[in-house]
Amino acid sequence: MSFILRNIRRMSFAHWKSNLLIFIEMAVCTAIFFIMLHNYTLAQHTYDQKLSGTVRAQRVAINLQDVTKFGELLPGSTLYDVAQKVQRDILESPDWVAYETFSLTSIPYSRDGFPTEIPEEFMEEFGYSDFCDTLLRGMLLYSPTYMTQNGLRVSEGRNFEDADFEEIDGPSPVIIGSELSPYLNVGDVITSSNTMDGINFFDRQAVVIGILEKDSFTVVQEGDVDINKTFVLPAAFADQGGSEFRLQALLSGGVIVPHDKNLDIQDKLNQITAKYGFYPFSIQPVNMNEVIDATIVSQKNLVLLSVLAILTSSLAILSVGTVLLRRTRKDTPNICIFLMSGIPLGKIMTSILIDLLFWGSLALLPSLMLSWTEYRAFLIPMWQLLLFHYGALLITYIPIIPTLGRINLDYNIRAGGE
Amino acid sequence: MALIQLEKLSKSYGRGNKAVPVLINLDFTFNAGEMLAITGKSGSGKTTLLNLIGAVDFADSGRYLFNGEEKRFRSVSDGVRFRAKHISFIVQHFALIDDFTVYENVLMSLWETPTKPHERKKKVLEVLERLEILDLKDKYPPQLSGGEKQRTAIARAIVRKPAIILADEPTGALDAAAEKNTMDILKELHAEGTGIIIVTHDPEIAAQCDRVFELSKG
Repeated sequence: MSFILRNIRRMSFAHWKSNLLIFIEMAVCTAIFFIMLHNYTLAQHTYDQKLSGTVRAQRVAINLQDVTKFGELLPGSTLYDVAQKVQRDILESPDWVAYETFSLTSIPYSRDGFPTEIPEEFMEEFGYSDFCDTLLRGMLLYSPTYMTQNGLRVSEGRNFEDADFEEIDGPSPVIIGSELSPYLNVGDVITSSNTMDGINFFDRQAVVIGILEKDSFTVVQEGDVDINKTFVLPAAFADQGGSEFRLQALLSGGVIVPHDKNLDIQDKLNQITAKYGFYPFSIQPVNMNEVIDATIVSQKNLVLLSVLAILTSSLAILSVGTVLLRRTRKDTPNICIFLMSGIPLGKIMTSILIDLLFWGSLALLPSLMLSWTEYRAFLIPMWQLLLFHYGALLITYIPIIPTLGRINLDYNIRAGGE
Repeated sequence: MALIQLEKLSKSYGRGNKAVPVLINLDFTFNAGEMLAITGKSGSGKTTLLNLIGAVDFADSGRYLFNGEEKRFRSVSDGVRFRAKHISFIVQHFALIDDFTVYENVLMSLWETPTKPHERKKKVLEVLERLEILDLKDKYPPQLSGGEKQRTAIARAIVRKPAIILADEPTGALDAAAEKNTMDILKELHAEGTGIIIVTHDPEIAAQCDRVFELSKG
C-alpha cells in the first residue's frame, strides 16, 4: 500500500493538468448523462403530478349552457335533428379536432367469465350493485380519436381502429390498464355477465387487443383520472353506441382542440349554434393539451438528449482514454524505474487505476450536488449513474493494460538518460 | 561455484531479415562476490549482456543458470521478481524519480520486501548516513549534483543488500572526484562480499576490478 499511496500522491502533482482534464471531462459527461436520466425519470413518472396542475389550458370542454335542455333532445324530435346538424358541424369543423368525452361504466365480474381471478382491489361498488357484488371499472369511448388526442398508447397488442367502433359480431375489443396485465393477456376473451334470479341482465364478451402503457392517465375538467386499473371499451359494449349517446357525449363534455392556439372557440361555436338556432354552449379549459405537448416536447428532448449523452459519453471516454494513455506513456521512464527497483507491474497498474478512480469519483460530485441543490434529493436510482460513471472510467483504463504489458524495459533504460 | 552462468546465449534485435545479432552463442560466468568489468567497443553488446543478466531483457536462445538453477524469464513480471530477490541496478543517468525525495527514492527498493515500516526507515537512514547524504534526504533529485544523485542511486541499490549490483557506466556522467568516490564505494561493497558487474569502456575503471570480460563485436 505504501507504494500505491506514494505513487498516487506523486501522479496527482506530477500530472495535475491531465488529472484536471480527466476531472472536467468526466464531470461534464456525467452531468449530461445525469440530466438525461432525470429527464427520463420525469417523463416516465411525474408529468401527471408535476405538469397537469400548473399548466395553462389550450383545449376546451363544451357543454350546453342550460343542461336541462338535454331532456328535449329526444330521437325523432325536430330539436334532435337540429342537434345532429350542430354535432356534424362541430365534428367536421376545419378549425379544430373535436371528439366525444368518455363515459365511466361498471363491468359486472364473475370468476367464471375471466381466465384468471381478478383481485378485489380492482373492484368497485356502485348503487346498483345489488345485481352483482363485484364490478370492474370501465371506460367507454366513441371513437379512436380519444386515444390519439390523449396520447394513450399501448405497450402490447394494438390500439383501437375505426372499425372497432362499428357494430361488430362477436366479442368487443378491449384495451386494459397496465395494472391488469398480470391477470390478462392480449388475446384473452372475457365474459361479463350479471344474473339475478336466473335472469341475465347483462352478458357481453370482449377480447383483449392491447395493454395500455404503464402510468397512463387521462384528464377531465375535474382533474386527472387514473386508468391503470380500467377496461377501455367501445361504447357499444354497454349498449351506448347509439347516435343519441354519441350526441350527448359530444354536447356534454365533448372536447375541442383548436389548430390555432389563439382561435376564439366560443365565437366559432356561437356561429354554429346561431346558424341552426340551437342552444348556446359554454366552454371550459381542460389541461390535457399542455400535458401532451410537454410530453411530446420531453420525448423529443429525451431522444435528443439520449443521442447527445451517447455522443458526449463516447467523446469523453475517447478523450479521457487518450489523456490517460498519453499520461502513462509520458510516465514510462518512471514506471521502468519502479520495475527495475522490484515494484510489480500489477501494483503499478493498480496505482494508476486507483488514481483514475479518485479523480473520476471527484467528477461525480457536481452531478450529485446538482441533484441535491435542484431537487433536495438524489432522484434517479443511484446505481444507474454509478454504473455509467465507473463503467466509462474502466473503459478508459483498458488501453493502459496492453500498453504497460508490452513495456520495453531494455529500450527505456537505455533511453532514460537522453 | 559460479553464481551466474550463461551458456550459448544469443540475442538479436529486430525481426526476420532485419534482425541484427548482438550476442551469438555467448558463454559467461560470474562468481559470487566477484568484481567484474565488462568492456568492449560501442555496439559490442555490453549493455545488452548486462540487461540479460539483470532480466531486464530476455535472450533468444541459450541457458541462464543462477546458483546452478536454470531461470526462464517470460515476462516483465518474471524479471521484476528475480531482481527484487537478487539484483540491483545502477545506471549512468541515475534513474531516480524526480518527484520523490532522496529518502523515498531509496525507500522504493524496500517497498516489496517483507520489512516492517520502522525497519525500512532505519535501513534507509543507515545507508544514507553511510553514503554521507543523510542531510539530503528531503531533497528532490533535480536539487542534487551528479555525484549526489549517483550516491542516491547506489544507496537505493544497496539498501536491500542484493547478491549482485549491476552497474552500467556508473561513472559516465560524473566528474573525476565523483568518479573516484563512486568507485571507492563500489570497491567497499565488493570488499563486504557483494558481487559487482560494471559495464565500462574506461580502462582505468576496468583495471580496478578482479576480472575483465571483453566483448568483441557479436
